[in-house]
Amino acid sequence: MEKQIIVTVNRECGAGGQEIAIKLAERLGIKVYASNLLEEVAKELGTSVEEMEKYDEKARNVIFAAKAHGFYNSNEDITAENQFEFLKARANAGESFVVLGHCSDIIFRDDARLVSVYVTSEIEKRIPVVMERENLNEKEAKDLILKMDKKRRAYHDSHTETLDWCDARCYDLCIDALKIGIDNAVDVIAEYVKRS
Amino acid sequence: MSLAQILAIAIFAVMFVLIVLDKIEKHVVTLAAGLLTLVLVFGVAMHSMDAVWETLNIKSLVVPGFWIGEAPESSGIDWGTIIFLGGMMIMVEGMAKAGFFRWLCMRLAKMVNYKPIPLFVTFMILSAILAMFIDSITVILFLAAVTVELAKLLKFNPVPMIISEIFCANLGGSATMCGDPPNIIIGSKLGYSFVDFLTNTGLIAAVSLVVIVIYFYFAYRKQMVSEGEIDISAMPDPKEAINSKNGFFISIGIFLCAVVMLVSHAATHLSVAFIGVVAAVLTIIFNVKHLKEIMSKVDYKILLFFTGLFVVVGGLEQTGILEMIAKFIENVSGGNLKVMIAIIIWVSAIASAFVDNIPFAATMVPIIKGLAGNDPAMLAILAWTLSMCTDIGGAATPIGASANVVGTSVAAKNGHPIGWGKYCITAAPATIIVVVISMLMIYARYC
Repeated sequence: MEKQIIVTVNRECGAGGQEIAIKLAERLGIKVYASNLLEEVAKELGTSVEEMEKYDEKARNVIFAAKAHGFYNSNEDITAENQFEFLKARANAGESFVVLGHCSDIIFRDDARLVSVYVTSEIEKRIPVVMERENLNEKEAKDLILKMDKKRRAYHDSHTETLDWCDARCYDLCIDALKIGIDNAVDVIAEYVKRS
Repeated sequence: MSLAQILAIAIFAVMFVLIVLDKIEKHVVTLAAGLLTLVLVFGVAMHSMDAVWETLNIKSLVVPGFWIGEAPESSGIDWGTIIFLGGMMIMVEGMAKAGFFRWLCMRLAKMVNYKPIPLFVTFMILSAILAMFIDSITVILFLAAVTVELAKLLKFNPVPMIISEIFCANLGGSATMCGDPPNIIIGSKLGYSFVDFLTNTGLIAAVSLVVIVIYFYFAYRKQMVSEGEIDISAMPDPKEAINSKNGFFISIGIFLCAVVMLVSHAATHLSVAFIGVVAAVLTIIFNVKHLKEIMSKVDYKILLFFTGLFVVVGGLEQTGILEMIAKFIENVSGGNLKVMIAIIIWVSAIASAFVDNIPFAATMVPIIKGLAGNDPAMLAILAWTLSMCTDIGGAATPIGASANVVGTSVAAKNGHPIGWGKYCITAAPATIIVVVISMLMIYARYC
């Protein structure tokens, strides 16, 4: 029986994390859950992705939500919880997969099958990537990077009290993909996954 | 302003902010605030052990009228409310364990042949009627879950139904003394009976319900259609919801017994605390096997929340702050009852839409008592005004009342998140409609 693999990829904006997650899954011959995760959850719940995407990967808003009788009506938290439960169920069913973001490193933190990866790079290197990808000028690209990183950090850290989104000690592997190129980074991570 | 008054206000304000922020569990906040009130306000600032005992109100438990007979007037912790709530919670958990609520929802769905519009109207009315007797959280917990299940099978969007059910649960809760926690506090503190509520707020709620059902019908009728072919034979059999036949009939028996005792308690002089204890004891006796499961589901935190809250409000009362607020309202209104009613209506409704309506009602009860002075007729008018508008104000936003939180949470868990926009676009106008109906009916009937 083949070893089950769960790889989580957290990334800074413009560092190439999404491309790495997709290529890594292809290389390992396993499924990737990135922006399609919400669609999969919606399919399982028998609802539409449009209803939930507004709340996807967002930190809870404490002013606009309340707790009662063990329930908490933060749509951001519940949307995240639904995705966590989906991923846990897939993992428990023996499925191997790569997850991009979605606090997946937190969900599988104590799971021996987990390889957690953080894709990072200096902001100066990420700006040209985002400028080209989003067709923005330098200032707009920098602003977008800072905004996205802040948003991802807020979302990630709102689901944990002990882990820090950009703390290297919270990951098995931190990699600067822009320094060695996306394909080489995928090679390194794939090799790491095989040996772990 | 004295040191005791400053401390009482500061503790109350911090407690309120912490409740709104929801970072710390509410019962921890009110208990800590209650403890601070006892130590700092009554102990350090007032040096008054009498104020401590009056607020803890333990002696009320041994007064004969507390259980049977005429209940004496008291301030501080309202043990009657707490015991009644605890007892009803145990009874309701017994009913849920037996499968009563799911059976009832499925039975009614079958009766209307699983047609979305009749189902929509039936569930609104069911929500209001059930909430008259049991807490609206339980009503919505089951109704929302069944609505999502039926919506999946019947291929329609459950969100309009859930929003309407939440609204009607809040409206139904306003009709009786035991329907909504603010009413239990108002009834218990001011000595009103189930029938007093039913013939006053109940009448307003009944008229409002008719208008609101029509309103929600027109607001949502285009969305309440099945998308695709429906196989009615594939629908779950209501009987499948019943976990144990004996338990089912016993739980209905206990429920009916509690309803009869509540309806007749003005004549029998049984207090709500007594009724709560009877309902709880009967449930426990007939559910010894499932006792652990039932008791584990009882929301004891809300009881602790009430205990702490009553102490903090007791601090405001003992230091004369609430009397000052009452005087202020009296001055602003120039002693005009109509203006007083208008102030209470709109302040209660708007405040309850954004902050927990339980602490608001607990604070307002001594204020309306102060406003009414020795005029029982005026006190009653202000009580019905406060009751209607705190209950219905809570329906305006997703965080205004516990039932709203539970209902929107169940919807989101099933992949139908209800944001503030989606919720308020129909619930806020509905709230305004009911507040206006209440105001007009109160003016027409009592002024």
